[in-house]
Amino acid sequence: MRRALRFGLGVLVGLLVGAAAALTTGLTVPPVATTAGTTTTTAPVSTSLLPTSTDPLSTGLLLVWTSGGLSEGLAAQVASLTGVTAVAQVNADLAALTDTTNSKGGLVSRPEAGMYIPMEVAAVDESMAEVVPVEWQAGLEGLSDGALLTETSARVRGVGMGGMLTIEGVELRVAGVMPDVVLGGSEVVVSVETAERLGVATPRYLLVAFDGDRAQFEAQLRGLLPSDLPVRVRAPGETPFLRHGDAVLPQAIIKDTFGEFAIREIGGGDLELDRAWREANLVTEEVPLLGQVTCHVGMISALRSAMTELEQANLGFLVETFHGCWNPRFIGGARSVSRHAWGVAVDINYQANVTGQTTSQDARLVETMERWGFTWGGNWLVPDAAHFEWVSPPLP
Amino acid sequence: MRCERVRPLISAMLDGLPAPGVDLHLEGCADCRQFLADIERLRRAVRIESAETLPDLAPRILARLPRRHPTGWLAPAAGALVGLVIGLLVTGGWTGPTPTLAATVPESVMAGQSRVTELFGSFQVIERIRPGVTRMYEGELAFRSTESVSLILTQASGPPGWLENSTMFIVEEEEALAAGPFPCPSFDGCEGADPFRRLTVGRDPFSVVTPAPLDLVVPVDVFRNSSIPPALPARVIAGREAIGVELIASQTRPLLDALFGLGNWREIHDTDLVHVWLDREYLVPLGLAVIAVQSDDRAVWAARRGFIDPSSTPYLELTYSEVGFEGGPAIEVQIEGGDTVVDAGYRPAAIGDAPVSAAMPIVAAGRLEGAVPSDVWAWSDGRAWIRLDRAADWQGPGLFGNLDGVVSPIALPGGTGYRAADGSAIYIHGIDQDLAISGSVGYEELLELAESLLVAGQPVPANWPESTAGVTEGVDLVVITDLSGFTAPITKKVGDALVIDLVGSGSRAARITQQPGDFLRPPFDPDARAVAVRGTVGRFSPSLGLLEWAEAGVVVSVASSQLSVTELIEIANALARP
Repeated sequence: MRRALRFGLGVLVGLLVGAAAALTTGLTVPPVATTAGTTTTTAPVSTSLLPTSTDPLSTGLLLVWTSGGLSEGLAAQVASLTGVTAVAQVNADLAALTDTTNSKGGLVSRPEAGMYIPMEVAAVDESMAEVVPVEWQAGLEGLSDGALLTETSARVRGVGMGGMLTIEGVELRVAGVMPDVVLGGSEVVVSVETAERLGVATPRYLLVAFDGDRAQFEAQLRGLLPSDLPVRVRAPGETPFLRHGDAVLPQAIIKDTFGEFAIREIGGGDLELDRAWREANLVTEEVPLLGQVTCHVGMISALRSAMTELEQANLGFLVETFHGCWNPRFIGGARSVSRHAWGVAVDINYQANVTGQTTSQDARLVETMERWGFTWGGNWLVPDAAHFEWVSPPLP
Repeated sequence: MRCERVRPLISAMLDGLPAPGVDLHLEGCADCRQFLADIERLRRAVRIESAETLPDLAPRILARLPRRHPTGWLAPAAGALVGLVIGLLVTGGWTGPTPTLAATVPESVMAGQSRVTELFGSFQVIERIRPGVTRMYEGELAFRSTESVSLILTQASGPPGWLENSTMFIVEEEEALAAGPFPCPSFDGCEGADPFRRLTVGRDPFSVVTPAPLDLVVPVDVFRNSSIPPALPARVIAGREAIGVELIASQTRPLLDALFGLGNWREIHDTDLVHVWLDREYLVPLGLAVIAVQSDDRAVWAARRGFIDPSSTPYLELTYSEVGFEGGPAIEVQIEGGDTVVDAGYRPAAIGDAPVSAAMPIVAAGRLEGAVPSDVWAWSDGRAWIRLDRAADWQGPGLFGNLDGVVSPIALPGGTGYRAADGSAIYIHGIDQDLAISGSVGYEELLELAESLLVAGQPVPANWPESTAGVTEGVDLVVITDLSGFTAPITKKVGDALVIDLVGSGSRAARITQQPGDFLRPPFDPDARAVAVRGTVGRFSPSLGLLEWAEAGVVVSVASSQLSVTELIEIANALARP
């Protein structure tokens, strides 16, 4: 009560003082200065591949990749650029896995005769130690006498350290299991020497230890490449795995989510998939706007939801033509298994959105598909604007 | 008695002091009657502003003072400070649009909307696409309570070959006429983008389908839940004193949409600044200017649309040249033979024994036909309004009348209700009826009506999106810091995800989502870039307005198409484990 009284008296005094001040001095208050907020952020780099660095914007690492593989000698050229302290080149290709045995010699898996399990095998040399976090450098020593698996790959394989993989007829001992993010999400990592025996030799991406201005680095990098060759530069945090083709999930995670199959190459890039996987994972159902569709059972509900949403919003006309979902084949011109083989991607309006060309895809179609968890190929380094590929459940 | 001797007495009379002879003089002197009217109006305005200041300023000032000395000099000092501010206000010491006056704008707008019963005026609009590429418009606005509005924008000049962008929107009783070109990505026209005229008949009062542009009258939706805006220098517009405030475009969306909702206008970036000048007495927007804020993200946005927006020049401007508050022109819907006619399904009825709102008189009652027929009642006073919808056969799934809005449960005398996060509506899911109460007024006035209805509100079924069942399970990061400009966070579980919604003024909103996971999905946006957030590396996708990061086995995203990356990071930094 007394406090309230004092407050009230204060109000009264203030009223009188304020009124007197105003009346006698004509007090005016200058307007508040306005500031235009900006959203500019510093180009971020990290000392760690892991997205848990305590100082993410100091110095760090950059991913560099170009579509179809790196040009000869690019790693050495990049190493000479300002601010670059180390460069590791990663080669990667598909290789054929036949037998998998556990550390006790027990057979874990073996495809039927004439088939193999497609594996994404990456190859690195000793320079890799200069771009991985210190705590993981020792783990790379296992490459001298075997192969490393990522955690996801080990889970899919059902083997850990001491297991054996027969890839392209070469027996490889599993020398260690490391986090996916450290090994770029690859299924198997071997030394460059081992990779030569497996036929894995295509240079795919560079990991660049770097200390300086990112924009300047990118400008210098651009000068090393043909002007019409698209290049992607990413920092940790911008993409979950520093690897080529970073707009889609690594094959190991696709397998972990949708299952692993064995394949038989039947010519022209077409594949035969093992029956057990097909029977357990594929469904053929009616989907609005698309008609009868064969897709992976774990994806088709998201596709149906997206198409239903378009239909209910009177946007069905945005889907003019549909070019399929499940299609077991390699990606055109490459020995790499298409996500269509898992039935987790669809092609829509292909005639007006040919691979590599400018898109005519309507933004509302893209937005709807993205909302339901499909990444759009139109944003890729080499655009594939008809292509929508599942990468995640929709955000709530 | 001479006028100059009478006028001090008029002031005294208004203060309740003896004023002999004044009444007699007033009977024969029109000038002094006008003086009396003016001073009464002025005092009303001042009283509204200062009265609103008291409850707002005192706790804020007290909260900033040290707590070590809760007694002694503190109370009188704080009181003196508050008193100083009020004293300056009441005596007119702050004659211009000062920061303190701007600080009262949100409250004054909400409180003052019932004072505007009529408005008419002429204004000019300038629309700049890039330097040297400009369109100019002549505008006419007329408003008469309760909901008659005429907004006509006529293009006066523009680049040759461009689609003419003249628009018209007129609301009168149960009719609404909208006319103009369809929006299209190109200014020189699109296939199927011919001008249209659409007549809505059977329009329901205060319709959400064909909303009257009432924020052009008093911008209530802009300032609902608004934090205190920075002040701008005073201006005199159309001969009237105008106070100025600086806002973010996302906050002013209701005003911008009211003005540019029809036609083929250039786009406005949500993070840009909007300067709004309000009539000091009636709080009618007399001027606005939209100004680009330079940022990397905005530069990309502008380049993709062909805009060049230097910060030195507003790219959209509106300025009134004439304005009046009584005796305006008649508002009438002029129907033409070729109009496309749409029946919205509202049929007026006798008001009869309608529910009673203590806030304002009832102005309409009727029935809205449709898939789920509903009864409608409306109350209005000036620009202010309240509407009640009642459906007898609502099956959901979702609260009747809640169009994707974020709600939280509240206790009502009859049971449970649901409050829209921004306080603009209350929903009741009854046993045999579902109600939606909405309005331009404050939440307390809506609540008063909701409580008076004594409907036994039930919790919504668990499969409705508004259900709060299981909200407390699996909570990870929650908002711990007061986020200025947003209402209290609303949390719910969706599958294995935790979703927190934040709602601010205008169209400002953000959604925080948490799901189990160790890494982000691949980036959808080719322009995605890493940003520092909460001591780790996160990713911002400009085209999606999406900030994402992984933290201790949880993947978190903060999504908003209206907020800048700086604001999204501020929200992220307000999160912590309880």
